[in-house]
Amino acid sequence: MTMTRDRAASDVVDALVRREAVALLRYFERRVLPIEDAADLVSETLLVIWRRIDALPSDEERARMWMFGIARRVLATHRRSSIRRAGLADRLRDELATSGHSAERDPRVDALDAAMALLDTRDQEIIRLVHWEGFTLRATAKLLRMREGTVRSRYSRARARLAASLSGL
Amino acid sequence: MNDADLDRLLSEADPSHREAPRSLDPLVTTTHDRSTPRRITARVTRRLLVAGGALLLAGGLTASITADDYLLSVPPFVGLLAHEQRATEWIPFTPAAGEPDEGEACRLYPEFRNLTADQLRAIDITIREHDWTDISELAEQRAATSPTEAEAASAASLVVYDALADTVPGMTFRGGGDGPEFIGYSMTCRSDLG
Repeated sequence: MTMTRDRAASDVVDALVRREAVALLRYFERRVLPIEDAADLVSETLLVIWRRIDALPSDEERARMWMFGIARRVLATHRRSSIRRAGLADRLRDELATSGHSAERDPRVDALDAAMALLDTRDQEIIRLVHWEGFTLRATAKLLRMREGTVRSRYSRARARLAASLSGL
Repeated sequence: MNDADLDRLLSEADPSHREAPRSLDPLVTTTHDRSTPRRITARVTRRLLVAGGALLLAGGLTASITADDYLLSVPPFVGLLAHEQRATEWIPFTPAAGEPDEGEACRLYPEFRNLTADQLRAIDITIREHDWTDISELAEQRAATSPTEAEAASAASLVVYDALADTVPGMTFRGGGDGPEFIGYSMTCRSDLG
């Protein structure tokens, strides 16, 4: 009976990690250049997650935040130095390299990218976490170790700036 | 551009609409196979941060002295000098930063100098009853906003001190002298303490 429960719990964790692996890959794709580096970063993040799987919170939202917290640190390490390439992600690197640049870009998205680049880097991150990673403002505040009120006001201000920058569209 | 248009554009710009790469799922399996689940190895990581040491904090700040494999199974695990005391109760602590410690369950034992037995008992009660849920985040925030690296390295100590200071009126933060004094903490981290 216990083994069945353990197996069930393990399956839940496995499904969660597999599902969030896509979101983690996208997280890195939005933040690194060349985009192929996202493959190594997600590989490194997954290794840490699997090693620390016992620390994965049972609550799904907290589990997701925990995973992205690890991703943030992996990204910070990548920015300070170069993530060691273990060769685990070579196939994914190749796939990203061939697919990542082929899609035709919407000029409005290019304009959004340009408007985002004018924002403070912290405000850019707030916008990405809310709109692309799907975190609430409260969760975003926790992830960025900022006060919720501060995140709310920065988010509001960043949106206003984006809207002003894009007013010609 | 109005709010609805901006929301729509942000949604359209989201690269995650693309199909997931086929080689991602095999990568998840590979990383799983390459990692060694801690629950299987059941390796006990023992770590000591001596009094005054700090936690691994944002920005890589650390003033800790670690001693893996140090025998810490039963507190007290560090000798105390005369007039120094260690709380019997412990504070649950899960480092929120500093690979590879993120998520590891730790127990933090505050240490003092010149406390009476009654004061130490009162401290134990406060530790037991205080809500320590956010201690890791508070320590990290404090480190991030500290004006000096030395203060940042003591961020966790300062957070603990703030929570305990009212329990012993006049207790200083490493103030020296003959009065009650908070001097730091010892901490042990193990994979099975959660």
